Amino acid sequence: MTDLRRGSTQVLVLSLLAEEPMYGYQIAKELERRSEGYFDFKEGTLYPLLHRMEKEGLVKGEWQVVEKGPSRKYYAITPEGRKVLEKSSAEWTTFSQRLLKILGQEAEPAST
Amino acid sequence: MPSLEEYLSHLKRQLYLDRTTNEKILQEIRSHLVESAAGLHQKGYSPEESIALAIARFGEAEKVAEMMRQVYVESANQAVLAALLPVALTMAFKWVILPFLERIGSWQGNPTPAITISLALLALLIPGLTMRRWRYGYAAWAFFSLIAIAQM
Repeated sequence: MTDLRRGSTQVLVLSLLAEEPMYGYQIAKELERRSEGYFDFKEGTLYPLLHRMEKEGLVKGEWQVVEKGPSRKYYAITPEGRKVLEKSSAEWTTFSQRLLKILGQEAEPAST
Repeated sequence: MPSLEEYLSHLKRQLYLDRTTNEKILQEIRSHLVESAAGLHQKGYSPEESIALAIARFGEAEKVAEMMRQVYVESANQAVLAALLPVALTMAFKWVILPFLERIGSWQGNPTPAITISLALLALLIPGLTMRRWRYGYAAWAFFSLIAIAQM
């Protein structure tokens, strides 16, 4: 379950960074906003993930000085990160389709 | 609830990483908590409540530190293992392969300099491929590789 959750957070973060470089707090807020609070996680768990992805070469971090307030570390997706995102997105799509098929909800949107 | 500084110093004590890495991590987390608290303050929370809520949303310092430590310790372990490869390869060549070749009679005496240099370069390349993103990797790699070359 932990691996599943970690895998899903990684693909979500990479999909956000595929749009534009973002910093940690911005990523956390954007995930919260887009999932309408469904992906509720402790914000501190985002940083080990970002640092791991940076070490693996999936994202590249760069500090930027902000006029008002503390400096921010912006993360940008790398070409390697885009490849992983593409592969992971396909895997998650297949996974959710198979799951819905088993649950008998193939053609219907998931109910809340 | 701890203050921002108390939370950060508690986190710092739990990280057990080198000073530069510690400072970079703490700077990033401080930036997050300050912005998070500012956002909460704008929503009507008092400064103390804002900090407390921002910290609560961020998570326990021990857990964050443990997860962060895992990221860096795993990399360090991989790099040390990779750095030991030149030594392992050289030992294997010197104590296993060479005596075996001598025993079967197809190899007499020491290997030629060209073979020695080729093996040393091969030993150097393998860890280099696995550690290119670890900033201490090259230092460890160079250190162990020098030992390996000295053993040849």
